[in-house]
Amino acid sequence: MYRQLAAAGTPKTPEQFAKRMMTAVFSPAATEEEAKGFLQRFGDLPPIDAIFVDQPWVGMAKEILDPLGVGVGVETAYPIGNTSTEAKVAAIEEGIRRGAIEIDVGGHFAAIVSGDYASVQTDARAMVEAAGDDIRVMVLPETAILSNDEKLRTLEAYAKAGVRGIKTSSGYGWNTQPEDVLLIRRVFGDAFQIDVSGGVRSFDDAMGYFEVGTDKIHASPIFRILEEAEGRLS
Amino acid sequence: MTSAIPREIAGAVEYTDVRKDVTYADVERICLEAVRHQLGTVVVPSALVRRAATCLAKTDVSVSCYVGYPFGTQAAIVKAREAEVAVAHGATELEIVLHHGAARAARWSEVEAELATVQRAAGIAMLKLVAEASFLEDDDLSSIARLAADVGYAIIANTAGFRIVSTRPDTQSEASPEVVERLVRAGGGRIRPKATGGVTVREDVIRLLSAGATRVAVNAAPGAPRRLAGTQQEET
Repeated sequence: MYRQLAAAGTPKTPEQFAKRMMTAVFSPAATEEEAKGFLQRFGDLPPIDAIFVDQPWVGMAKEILDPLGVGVGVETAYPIGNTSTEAKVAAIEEGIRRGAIEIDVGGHFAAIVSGDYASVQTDARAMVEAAGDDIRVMVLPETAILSNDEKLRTLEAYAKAGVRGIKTSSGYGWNTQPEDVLLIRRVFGDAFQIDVSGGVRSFDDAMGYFEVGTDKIHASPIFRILEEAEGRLS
Repeated sequence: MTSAIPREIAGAVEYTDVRKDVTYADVERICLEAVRHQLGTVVVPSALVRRAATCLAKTDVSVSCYVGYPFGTQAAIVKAREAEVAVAHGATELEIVLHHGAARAARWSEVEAELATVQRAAGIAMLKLVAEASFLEDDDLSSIARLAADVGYAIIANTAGFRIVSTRPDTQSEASPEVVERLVRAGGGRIRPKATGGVTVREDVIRLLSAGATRVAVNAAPGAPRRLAGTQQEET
């Protein structure tokens, strides 16, 4: 379920590249018809790993994406993260019920910046237990606005809680730096699947993150990036 | 200590800091300032309700909690759970973000079902609905306001105050007298407007209240009470 794709090095073909990319329906204000139109554009492309949609649309998205071999993801407590643990657990349970393959959940950020790592760990453990083996839960620490000490203490709490996957940032101007991935890999080795989001605007940006040990990347300009990959890796 | 913030303004203020990196100490400071200045409400995300409720116990300041913040893309049942737990933790007001995708597609039965699902979970808490007005046509805003009033929501707010499109900071909405007037028209007297977005100074609060807002979200960044009191009070 959690994949250490980075161990195999950088992607060598457009298909391998695509399988390590994700994106989301372009706006939370999109209608279901607009979302459908967006998803249908993936019909002629090598399958990417997953596309994130509003929770009520998972069923609709699966109808379009399952035949394409693309997973459906959802998010919650995103991008702010200071949502009650109970609400996160409810979202994870609902994600499983609707058939999403992944849920990205904001960590307890207020606890992190308040030095309350016990709560960071409790919150994360509840997510891990709710997810079981039924859905991949990726927890977001938002590395871009943490000190290195905060990053390491947070990830230590996540590791103790049994978290297997992290998404370093949510985007929204909080962009992961390659150094963050290097730091986490150096300290935690292969303990986590590491996904990156925020500021990946081109094929070269993406390859830069893959080179430092990123497993998967979320990017909004996905069509442009896949097109570049087709040209550069074929 | 008496407050330099006029009483008629203070009671309408919803004091809030929804920064991601808000600390426990920030929440405690915000609560203390709200009590000192007799502000109406402190708004916090659901993980911080218990903390705010503890700080505000036995005071006249109410605790409000965001539900589905900031995008409202959660399933109704997830919002209902967040609402129920927030009330159990001490929130007496809830501010629910609408599933805008359903509203923009005019799927009114889905919108109504969502609002009712959260309402049933909320017990006696006062309900506020966030509808991102800048993304909605007037007709849709009216339909949303009517449905919300029917289901028992007391207040409609113009935005959650967060950018809607990740790569476009300009999609973060600001409060204005014009958007308040839109909410007044949409509400038809059955649901009261709340103005949210970038409000920090007393003059803005007064303008928004004059335009018809019942509540105004004020950013509780450090120094906020001084800005709310206005310059003259600051100097005395």
